[in-house]
Amino acid sequence: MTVLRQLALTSARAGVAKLLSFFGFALMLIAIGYGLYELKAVDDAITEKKDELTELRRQIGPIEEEIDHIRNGPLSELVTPRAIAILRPGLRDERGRQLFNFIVWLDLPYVRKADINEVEYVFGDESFLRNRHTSSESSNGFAVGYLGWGAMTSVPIKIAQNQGPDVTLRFRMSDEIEFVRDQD
Amino acid sequence: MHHESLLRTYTSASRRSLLSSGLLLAAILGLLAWNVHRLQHIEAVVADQAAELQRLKNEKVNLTETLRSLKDAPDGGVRAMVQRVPVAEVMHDFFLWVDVRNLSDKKVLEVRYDFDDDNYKDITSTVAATGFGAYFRGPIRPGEPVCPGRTQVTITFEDAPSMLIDYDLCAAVGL
Repeated sequence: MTVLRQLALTSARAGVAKLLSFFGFALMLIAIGYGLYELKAVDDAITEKKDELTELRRQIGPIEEEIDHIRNGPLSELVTPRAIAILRPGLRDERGRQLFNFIVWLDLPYVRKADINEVEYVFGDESFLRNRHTSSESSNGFAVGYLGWGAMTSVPIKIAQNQGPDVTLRFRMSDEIEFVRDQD
Repeated sequence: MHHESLLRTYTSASRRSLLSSGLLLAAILGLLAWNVHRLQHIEAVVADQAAELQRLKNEKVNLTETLRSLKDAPDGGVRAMVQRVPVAEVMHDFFLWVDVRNLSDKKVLEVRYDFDDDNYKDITSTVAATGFGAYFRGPIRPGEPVCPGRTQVTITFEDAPSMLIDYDLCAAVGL
């Protein structure tokens, strides 16, 4: 009788253990599934951060190169001549052509202006009484100007550096100028 | 006798089951410990990456600011020039304009030049092609106040707040 009771008890315990094992197994599967889901989210976040890091490194490289180029690059590569024409209402030459004030200056990085001693522009037209204009005024980009009816096709520009050889450029002034005849 | 034999079989099976359950539990605990270690490692990597990301973001901001300060003058691209009017000794032509290419990321609508001197009329220009250039004529006499003092330049953008520049016209033209 005792053995029979023990058997019945053991059998009942085995049934409970089976049930518990089943629930335990199911819980484990759920936990593993959830863990994998969470891990994938973390993995995606890490990949995204890695991509962001790569992109930032990719962006920083050219900025550093540009800074180095601005600080140490040759002036000839950093200088861009500019020109504008400001209408002078009512002012015409003897042939009735509208007159403008033409202004030419150099666009260059602020930090490199101190490297320039003087800039000479040659406006090579025979109608000019004075065709060589020089400026050592860095605050306006070494601007010079003239009053006239047209822009030069090509303006030789000589940049005298404080240290180093002169830099010579040719500026296609007429390509830069946009004439506006109805200015306010 | 049959029941006793069955009981022994059950007891033996129960022990094996206990042993295998114990081993499985140990394996699960081991796996959990390993996962905790891996997670800590991942957290450390994520923290390192976040710190590196922040460092690079700061570096980019600093480099961009350095680049801007190397390229752009504090005057915001405002330029000025003065020329003596031929045959009129004291009269000079003043020109003001804005190097808008320094502001290439924004669209300029108009530029207003306000002179801190009632003798000079304020000028507004909306013509981008002339660099929003302005022109006026004024006298320059030795020993007298020569130009319209400080000039406030207001650059109005289409898609950004206006920029106010306190511009020293006299200093800019070397007076």
